[in-house]
Amino acid sequence: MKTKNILSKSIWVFFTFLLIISCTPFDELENDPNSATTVPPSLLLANIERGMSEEDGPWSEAQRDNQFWVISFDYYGDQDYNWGAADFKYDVLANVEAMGMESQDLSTVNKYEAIAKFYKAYYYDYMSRRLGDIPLTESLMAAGENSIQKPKYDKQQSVYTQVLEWLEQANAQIAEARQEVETGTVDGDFFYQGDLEKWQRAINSFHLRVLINLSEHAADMGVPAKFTKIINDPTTYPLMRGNGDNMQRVYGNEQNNFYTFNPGNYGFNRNRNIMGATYLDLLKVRNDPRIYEVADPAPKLFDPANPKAISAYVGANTGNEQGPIQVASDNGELSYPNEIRYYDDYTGEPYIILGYAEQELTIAEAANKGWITTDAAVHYENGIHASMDFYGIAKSDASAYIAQPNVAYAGNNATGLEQVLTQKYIALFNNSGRESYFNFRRSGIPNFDVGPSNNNGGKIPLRWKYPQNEFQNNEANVKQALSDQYGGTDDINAKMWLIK
Amino acid sequence: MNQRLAVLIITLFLTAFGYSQTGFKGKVFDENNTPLPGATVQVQGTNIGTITDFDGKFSIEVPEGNTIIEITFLGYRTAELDISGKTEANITLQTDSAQLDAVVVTALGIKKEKKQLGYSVQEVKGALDKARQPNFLNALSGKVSGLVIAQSPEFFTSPNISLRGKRPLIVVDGVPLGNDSYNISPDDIESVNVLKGANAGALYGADGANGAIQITTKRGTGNKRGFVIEINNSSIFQTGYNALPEVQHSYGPGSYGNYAFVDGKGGGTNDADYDQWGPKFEGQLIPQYDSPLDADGNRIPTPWINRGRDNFTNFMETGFLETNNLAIASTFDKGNLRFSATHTYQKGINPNTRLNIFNYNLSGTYDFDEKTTVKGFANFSFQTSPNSPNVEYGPNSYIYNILIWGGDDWDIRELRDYWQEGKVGIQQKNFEYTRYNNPNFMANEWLRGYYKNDYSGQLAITHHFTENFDATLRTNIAVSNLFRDEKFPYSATTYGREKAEGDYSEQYDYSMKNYSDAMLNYQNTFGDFGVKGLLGANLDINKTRYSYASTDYLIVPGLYTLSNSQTPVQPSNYKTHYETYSGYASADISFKDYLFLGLTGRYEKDSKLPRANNAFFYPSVALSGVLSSMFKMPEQINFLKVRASYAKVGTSLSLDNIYSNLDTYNLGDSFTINGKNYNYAYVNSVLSNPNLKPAYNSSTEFGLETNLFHNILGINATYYENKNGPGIFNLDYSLASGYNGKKENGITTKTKGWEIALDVNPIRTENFKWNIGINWSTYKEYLDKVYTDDDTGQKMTNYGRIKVGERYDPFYINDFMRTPDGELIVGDDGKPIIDNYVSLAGYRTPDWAAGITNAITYKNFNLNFTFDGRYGGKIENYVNQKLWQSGRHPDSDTPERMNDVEGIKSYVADGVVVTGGELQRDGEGNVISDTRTYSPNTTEVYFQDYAKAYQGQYAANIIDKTFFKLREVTLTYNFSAETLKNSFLNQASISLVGRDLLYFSKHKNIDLDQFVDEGSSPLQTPTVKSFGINFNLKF
Repeated sequence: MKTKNILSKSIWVFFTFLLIISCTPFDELENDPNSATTVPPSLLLANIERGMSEEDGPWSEAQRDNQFWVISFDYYGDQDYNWGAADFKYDVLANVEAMGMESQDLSTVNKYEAIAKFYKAYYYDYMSRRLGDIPLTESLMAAGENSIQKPKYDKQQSVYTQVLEWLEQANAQIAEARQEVETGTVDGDFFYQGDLEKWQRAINSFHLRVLINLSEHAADMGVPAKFTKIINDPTTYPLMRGNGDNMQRVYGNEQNNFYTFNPGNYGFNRNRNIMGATYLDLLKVRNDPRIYEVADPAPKLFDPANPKAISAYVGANTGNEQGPIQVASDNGELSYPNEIRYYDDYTGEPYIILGYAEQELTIAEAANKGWITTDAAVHYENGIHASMDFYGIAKSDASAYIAQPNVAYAGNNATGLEQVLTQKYIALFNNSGRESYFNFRRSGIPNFDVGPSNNNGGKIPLRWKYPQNEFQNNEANVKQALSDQYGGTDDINAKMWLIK
Repeated sequence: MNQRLAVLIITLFLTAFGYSQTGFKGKVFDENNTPLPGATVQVQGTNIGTITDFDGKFSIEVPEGNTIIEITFLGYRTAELDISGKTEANITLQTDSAQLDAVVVTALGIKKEKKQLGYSVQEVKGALDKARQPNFLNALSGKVSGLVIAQSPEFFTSPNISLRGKRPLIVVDGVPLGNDSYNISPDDIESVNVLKGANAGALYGADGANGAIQITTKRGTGNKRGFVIEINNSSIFQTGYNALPEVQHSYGPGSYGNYAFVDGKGGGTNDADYDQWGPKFEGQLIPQYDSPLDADGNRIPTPWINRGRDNFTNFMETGFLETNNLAIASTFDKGNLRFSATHTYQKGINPNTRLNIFNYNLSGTYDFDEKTTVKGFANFSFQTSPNSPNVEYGPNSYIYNILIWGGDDWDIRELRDYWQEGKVGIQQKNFEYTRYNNPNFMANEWLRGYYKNDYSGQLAITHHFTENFDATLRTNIAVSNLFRDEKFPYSATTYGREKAEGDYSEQYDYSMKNYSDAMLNYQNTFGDFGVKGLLGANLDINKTRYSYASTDYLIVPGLYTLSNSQTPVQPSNYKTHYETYSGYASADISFKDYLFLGLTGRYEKDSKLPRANNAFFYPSVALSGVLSSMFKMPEQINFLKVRASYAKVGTSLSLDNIYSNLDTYNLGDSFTINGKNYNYAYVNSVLSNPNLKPAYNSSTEFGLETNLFHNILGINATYYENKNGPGIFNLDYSLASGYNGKKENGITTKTKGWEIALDVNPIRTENFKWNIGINWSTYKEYLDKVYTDDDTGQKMTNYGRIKVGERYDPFYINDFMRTPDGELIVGDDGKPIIDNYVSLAGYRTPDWAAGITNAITYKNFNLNFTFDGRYGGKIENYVNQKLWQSGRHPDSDTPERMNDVEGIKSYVADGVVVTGGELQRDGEGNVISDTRTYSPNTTEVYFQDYAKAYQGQYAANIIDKTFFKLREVTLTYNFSAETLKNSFLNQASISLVGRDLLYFSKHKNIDLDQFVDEGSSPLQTPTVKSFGINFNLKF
C-alpha cells in the first residue's frame, strides 16, 4: 500500500512538473520566424524589373492585339477585342515605395530613389493611358496614420503633369547620384547591372515616349517646348545611343528564364501561332529583309528553287474567324514564326521594353511635326538601322531597303509621318508591350484589321474598363470618374482626354 | 436475439423431457393501461421465455422452484414479478427514462445523461467495422443529421466533413489531436458522438466552435471471464463504376477532321497537344504514331480505326481492401487492459497504387486504490504508400490523358511496354510527344510516395478526495512525421516542365501537439437539486515544421536525389509555434430529475493574437426540461423534452497562416539571367492590425425530443442560428491605396438551419425487428454585418458583391450575352459571346441533406442498409466542359460534325444577331439603356467552333449537386450461442457487405458526393462500388 501511495504521488508531481516546464513565454512566439521585416532594396528592384519584363511580352495576347500575330486555336485564346478590365499597378507601386524606403539609410539612397521616381512615372502612365482618370494624389496611402482606403481619382491631365515632373526629378536625381563617389552600386538590376548612365538615358528616352503620346495635347501640355529642351541639351538629358542602351530582358536555358517559345512548347504552338497579316503585309510590300528573320514561308507555297520568294509569306487576318484560319494552317497555306529564331533554343530574342529604335522614330515624328528642328530623316534612318541591327541584318541590306522609293523618307509631311509611324510599328514587333496599339490609337497607323471575329461591334477598342473591385471598394470615386469622363458607362469605345 | 432463440429451443427441449412445471398467464400494459405487444417474458435464472402477443398477453411454463419472472421491453424499466401462488397477473411497465437518456460523451470526455443535455448531440448507431473503408469517417455518412461526409473518390484521401456548414473538430477520448483520420482504426472505436455546434463544443475553446466528432475508444472488456480475444477480418473488392465519363467513339484526334502523325511534336498535322475533333474512324489510311516507316523515314499510312474504345477500363484495375484486427482485452480486479493491432492493406483501382496502415493501440486503466485511478493509452500508426495518383487536371491525370484529350486511335494495351527501344529510362513510347503521357509509363515511373508515422499517447490520473469531490490531471501528446517525395521521370511532361528532363522533390512535415488539462469535479444533491461543477485549466502547445526541396531538372536520368539537379537546389521551409492557456468552468444544476441547467465559461489566452487583446472570455448556457416527467401526457407521448441553449466561442487567426497579422516581406523563387542569380522580395499586400481582437462565434439552438406510440416513433428536432463572427477578415481597400486591405474584426454571417432525426420502430417482434433512422437537415448562411469603422462610424454594407441580408454562398458566372428575353446573342462569326460582367446563377450550398438507415433483425440475421444524399446547390461540371472542348463528349457525335470533316460549315446556332442599336451599361453591368434590335442568326459555322464556344464554356456547365446513394448494405449472420457452445468461440459473426452500391444522379460523368459547397469540380477518379465479406470472432 505504501509503495502505491508513493507511486501515485510521484505521478502527480510528474504531471505538475510537465505542465509548468512546457510553456513558452508569448513574446517569443509573436514574430514570424519565416519572413523578413526588412530587406535590401535590391530584392525589391529585382521583382519590379521582373514584373515589368513579363508584362505583355513577346507572343503575348498584347502582341496579338497589336496584330503582329494571330492565334487560330480558340482553346488558347482569340483576338475578339471584347476587352474587360485593365489591372491596376498600385501593388507594384507599393513595392516601388518600399524600395525607396528600404534605401533611406543606405549610401545608395539617391540611386534607388531616382529609379523609384522613374517607376512611378512609368506605372501611372501605364494605368492612365489604359483607363483615363486614376487615383494619384490620394493613392498609396493605405498605411500609416491618416490612412486613405478609398482614394479620389485625379484627372488624366494632372496625372500626366505629375508624370512629366517625376521624369524631370528622376533625371536630376540620377545625375546627382552619378556624381557620388565611393557609394555602393545598385543591385538586383538585370537591365543595366547598376549602370546609372544607361539608366539616365532610359529615363530620358521614356520621357520622349510620354511626350509623343501627348501629341493630341501638344499645345495645352507644352509638348514642343519640352521636347526641344531635351533634344537640345544632351548633357542634361542624355539619350540612348544605340541598341546597347536598350532596356531589355534577355533569355536563356536558365532557371525561370526561358524565352516564351522554345523547344519544349513547339508542339503546342507551331500550327496555331500564325504571323499576322497586318504586320507581314507591311514587310511584304517593302521587300523588308526582316521578313526572313521573323517568319517562315507558308509550307505549301515554299519553293526550294526560289527560297526567298516573298509571295510565299502569307499572314492571317486578325479579323478572320479562327476556324477557317486553322484549316488554312493545317493545309500549309500560312506563315509561322521563324522556327530557327524562335523555337530552336531557350534564348529567342531579347524583349525590348524601351528601345533605341523607338526613341529615334519618336524624335523623327516630333521633327516631322515641326516640334523640333532636327533632321527627321536622320532619326528615321537611325531607327530603321537599329531595328535591322536587332535582327542581325547587314547594314548594306538595310541601306538598300531604305533606298527604296516607298521607304525613303518623304519629308515632313503626311506621307513622311505615315512612314515614320509604320517603321515604328515594324520596329516594335513583339516588343515594348502595347506601345504599337497606343501609337495606332492616336494616329490610326498602320491600318488595323477588323472582321467577323471582332466581338466589339467591329471596332478596335479605345480603352479598358476599371477593375471591378473598385465598384465594391471605392464605388463613389470610380463612379464619379465614369460620369466625369464617359457619361457614366465604362465603355471600352469611349474616348479619354489623352486622345481627344 | 440468438440468446432468446436459444431460450426457446431449450424451453422446448425441457418440455419434451417432461419436467414438472407450472403454467402462468399474464397481460402487460404500459402506464396508460395500453397493452404492450412484443415484450419479453423470462423466468429469472433460466433460459425459459416468451413474448407478449398483440393484446399484451402471454403464457409461460415455469419450472418448479422458480418463482420470479422478468418482463423486459425496449424503453421500459424491467419488471420483476413474484408469481408464488399466482397463476395470473396484470403487469404495468414503467417508462425507463434511464434507457431513453442513455449516457453520452460530451466535451472533454465528460459523460452526461442524454436527457440533461440542452444542446444537440447525436450518437452514431451501428458498427463501423463491418462495411470497411480505409477511412472510418466515411462510415458516418447519412447517419447524423447536419453532418455531411463528402466522400472523396480519390485513393488515400480523407473525406470533406461539414457539420452545419463548417468543419468540426475531431476528438479522441476527450482530446483534439489533429485532423488525420487515417490513424484511427474502426476496430478501436467504441462509440462516436457528434456534438453539433458551438453549444456542445464550447468547452473545447476556439477549436470547438464548429462542433466536434467525438470518438471514444474501446477499453478493457465487460466479459465476466476476465478476458476476450477478438478477431475481425474484412475483404472488400472495389469494382463497377458509379460515375464514369462517357465519351464518343466515332472520331479521333485532330481538328476540323485533319490529322497526320509525323513526330508527335508538331511536325505533322495536329499531331501534338491535340483535340479530339479529328477524322472519323472509317478505315481510311492516315499516318499514325505506330505506322511503319518507309526507307526515307516517312510514315506509311495505316487504316484509321477505333482501337481504344475501352482504354480506360482496360487500364484501371479492381481495387482490394483487406483489414485484419486482433484485439486482446482483459479485466482484472485492479483495472483493465486492451491491446489492439490493425493492419489495413489497400490496392487502389489506379494501377500501381497501394497503401499499408499499421495501427497499434494499447489502453488501460489501473486502480491504485479505491480513490486513485490511472488511465492511459498509446497509439502508433504507420502509413505507407509508395505511390498514389495526382488527379488534378493536367498531364499528370489519367482522366486527362485517356478520356479527355487522348482518343480511341490507340490501344492502351499496346503501350504497356512503355520505353522506346534503345532509350530505356530516357524516352517513353507514346501516341503523342508534347503534352500527353503514356498512362502505363506514368503508373510505373511517375511516383509519389507518402510515409507517415503518427504517435499519440494519453495519461490521466483521477483522485477521489471524497465521494463528491475528485480531481483529474490529463496530458496528451501527438507527434506526426510525414515524408513525401515525387519522382518525375525523363520524357514526362506537365505544366511548366516542358523541358521534360525529369525532377525529384522531397517534403518533410512534422507536427506536435501537447494538450493537457487539470480538472476539479464536484457533485452533490441537495433535496431536489443536483449540482455538478467543474473547474479546469488547459494548456495547448502546437508546433509544426515543414521543409521542401526540388531539383530543377535532372542531370542523370533515373537518379532521384536532390543533388542530381541541373541548377542548384533552393529548398524552402516553414515553422510555426503557438500556444493557448485556458481556464474553464462548468456547472450543471438539475431539479427533480426533469429540469436541467448547464453553464460553461472559458477564459483563453492565445499567442496568435496581438499582445493587447490576446485574452478573452466566453460563456454558454443550456436549459432543458423533460415535460413528460413534469406533466401528465396523453398516452401516445412516452417522452417529451424541450431544450434551448446559447453559446459563444472565441477564436483566433486562421491556422492556415498564424502569422498573417504581421507586416513582413515575402520572398519569391530565384531566377537566373545571363548566368547571374537574382532573388526577389515583395511586400505583403494585407496590412497588419496591432489592435486586432479575437473573433467570436455564437450559436442559439432550440430542440425538441419526443418518443411516441410506445416508442415506435422518436423525434429529435433542432432549430439553430449560428452567428459566425464578428470574425477576423481582410477588409478590402481600393487597390489604389497600395494594399489589398487590412486585417480587421468584422464580417458576421448567420447560418440558420433545421435538423430532424426520426427513430422509427415499425416492427418489434421476437424474431423480427426493424429500426429506421431518418436524418434530414438544411441550412443557409446569410451575410449579417460587415464592418463599422471605429473612427468615422461609417458602416460597410457589402462584402465584395454580397450585400447585407443576402446569402453568403452566391454562385456568380460570366454568362453568355443574351437579349432581355434570354435569347442567345451570337457574334458576326456565328458564335456566342461571353459577357464581361458577372451575373448570379444560384447558390452553392445544397438545399438539404438526408439519410435513411435501416436495421432489420430477423432471427440470427441482421440487415443494415443506408441510403443518403443531398439536394440542390450549384456547381460547375468541369469534366463535362472539358469533354466538350476536346470533342470527346458523347453528344458531340452529330451530323453537323461530319460536315466539319468534309470542310462544310453547317451549324447554325439557335440565337440572334444584333442588327442595330446599342446596349449601355454602368460600370457594374447594370443596363442604362438598351436599343438593340435583332434578327435570327443565319451564320453557318463549323460544329466544332460552336461546341467549344457554347457547350465548352463555363456558363453552359452549371449543374445542381443533387444525388443519392445506396451507401451501405451489411447482412450479418450471428452464430447462436447454442451453435458455439461446444467450440472455443464465444461469439462469431459473418457479414456480407457492400458500399456505394447505387448512385442516382442526373449527371453520371461526375460523382457529386465529394462536394459540399464548392462551386467548381476538379477531375476525379471514377467512383466504384465495394463488395466484401467480414468475419468477426470472439474467443
